[in-house]
Amino acid sequence: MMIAAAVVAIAMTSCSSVGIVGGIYHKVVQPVTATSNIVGTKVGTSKCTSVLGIAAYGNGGINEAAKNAGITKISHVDVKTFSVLELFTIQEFFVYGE
Amino acid sequence: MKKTTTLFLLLIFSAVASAEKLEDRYIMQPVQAGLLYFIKPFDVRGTSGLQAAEYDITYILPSDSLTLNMSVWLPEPVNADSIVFCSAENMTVTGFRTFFIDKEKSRYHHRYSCTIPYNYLLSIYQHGQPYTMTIHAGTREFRYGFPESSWKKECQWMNQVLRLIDTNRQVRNTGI
Repeated sequence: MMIAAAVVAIAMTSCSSVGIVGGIYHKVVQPVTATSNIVGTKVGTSKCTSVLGIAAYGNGGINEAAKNAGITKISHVDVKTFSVLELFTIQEFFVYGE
Repeated sequence: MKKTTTLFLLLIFSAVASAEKLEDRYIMQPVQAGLLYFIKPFDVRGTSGLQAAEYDITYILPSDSLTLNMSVWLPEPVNADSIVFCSAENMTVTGFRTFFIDKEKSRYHHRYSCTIPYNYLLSIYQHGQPYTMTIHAGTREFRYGFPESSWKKECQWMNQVLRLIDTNRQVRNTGI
């Protein structure tokens, strides 16, 4: 039963991130976007969490991260995703700007 | 079956518990003005039933000051007058910025930003006793700080980050 659950989790890994994925253990920082603005000196973060693929909560948006640092001009955005068997996933956005 | 389930849950738990390494605590990024260090959000316990505050720090090497952004969740919206840090040396910040006050569930999320000297941050974490931060709003006070039991651990990781920053500062100063 557990092996079947693990196989399903691995099969669904592409749902949570773009590019590199780790079916069993996933801890990567990946780009989301970059603009033509110079690299900013302010950094804002936002986070959302998923538990057991059943419940998910948080405000992990770019707007939330920008709001937290008073950023009005975004230079680039990265996302860090941490996941174990897709059963526990944390996604953090890092917005850089001025 | 039970053993498999237990092992499986232990695997998840240990992966999650061991996830937080020093490099997970901060980001380093070259910027035009120098080297940007962003210390990711960390909790500071509230007193008298207050929800923990959340701080994050942005520092650009070789600047003398850093930006401390903080989120506090208060039972009602307040107009803060000053923020006071109490450590070996006390510091009162009046020129702070209020990014926003927003309602979240039953509390009000206040987001503040202030500039403090880099050396002051160093002194806070090199002082043996935990510091407190108090937000003054008229006659009201909202205090945050670390219990002595967790202060050592808090200092440990923060001082490692600060040591890294100092190493980079020395490298820049000697031009290596």
